[in-house]
Amino acid sequence: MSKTSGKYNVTDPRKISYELFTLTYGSFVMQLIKDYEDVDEVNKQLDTIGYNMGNRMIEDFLARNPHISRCSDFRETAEVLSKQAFKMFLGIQPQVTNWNNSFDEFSLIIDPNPLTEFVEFPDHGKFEKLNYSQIICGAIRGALEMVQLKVECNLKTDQNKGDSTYTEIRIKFVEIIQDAIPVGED
Amino acid sequence: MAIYSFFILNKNAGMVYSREFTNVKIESEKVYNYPLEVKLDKLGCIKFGARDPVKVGHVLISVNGQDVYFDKMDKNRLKMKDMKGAEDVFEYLNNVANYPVQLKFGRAPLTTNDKLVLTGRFFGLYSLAWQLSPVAHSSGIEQIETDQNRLYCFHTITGFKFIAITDSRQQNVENFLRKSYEIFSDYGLKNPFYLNDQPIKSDLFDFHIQLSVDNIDRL
Repeated sequence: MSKTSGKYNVTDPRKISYELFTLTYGSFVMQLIKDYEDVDEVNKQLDTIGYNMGNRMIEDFLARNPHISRCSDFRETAEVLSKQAFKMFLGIQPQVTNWNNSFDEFSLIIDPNPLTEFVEFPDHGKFEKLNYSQIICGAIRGALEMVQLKVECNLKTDQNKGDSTYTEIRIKFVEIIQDAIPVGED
Repeated sequence: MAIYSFFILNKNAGMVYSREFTNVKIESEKVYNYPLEVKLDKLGCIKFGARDPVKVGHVLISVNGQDVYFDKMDKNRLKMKDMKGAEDVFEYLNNVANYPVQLKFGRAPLTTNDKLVLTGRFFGLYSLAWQLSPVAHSSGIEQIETDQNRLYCFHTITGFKFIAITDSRQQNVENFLRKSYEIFSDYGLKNPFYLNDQPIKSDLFDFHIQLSVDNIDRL
């Protein structure tokens, strides 16, 4: 999301202004809220949209990072997700923390979250249940499903809940989708 | 040196994209006297009696500069275009009065159905190679070599296969296939109107593939 890159100040055609991005996302979410008038439904829609994006983003990610091979454990997945995927698409590196004992569940701490840069939720609790950044969860789920990793991905905290200023995404390993493994991959 | 054809298969062995680069045409023309020395089958394919540059297996493309095509009514007869009443080719060739004739033969172009069958078979061979490998974590077929050309296959983690058939002297094909993966993710998948696993019919995609084929040595 950086505006310019390189020492010659050449604008990367693949990148757009940070503000345009957060603004677009903001009005996009507001429009969904107007259209569906139900916060739960909006959360579901955001997740589906993210899922569809993730399905396609994974190809882009793999095409541009040819050295990445199939992950052998979930720690590796977490590493690639935060250090490379988030870096490539959002320009940030979320922190990987809160592993459980069996190392199949972790949290990504996004701080600051580019989506919520200018967002402040009203106090009257109408949007208490809104998962503003749910689209990221959907995208992670969609992308990992294309490499046969089934995960559960939930927004644990968002700015509109409690006092937290960061976004925490909880990712839980469910299974390897055996049937979908392409021939030639083990 | 050239790339002859390029295919993309999805993980269900479906052909998502296929493209042939027509700058390599295999055609040859020759004047024949009666009686005709080449023996044709009813599809116009040479079975016997071909001499250079015409080869066995080539099909009849044109007679005296006129293209021939299959009669829709009777699929096993060839007709000549632009002739009065679309004359039957075999009757024409059996008539002494029409000689000498100039016949053009060429490699039969692959139909879409042929391509689907062939790429499907390759998919099977790929998994065969992978299953037969005594070593763990082996990939499937990456290259098939003949004395004239090579088939390169690039397999992605998500199960897509990018296949190029090239002249055996062509360098840099692996890079081309990686590049085509990028083009696929850009102009195929980032197009919101593209439906997953459907054939790609996009001019932008065609254009960028053509561009990297033209610039293959500089990728």
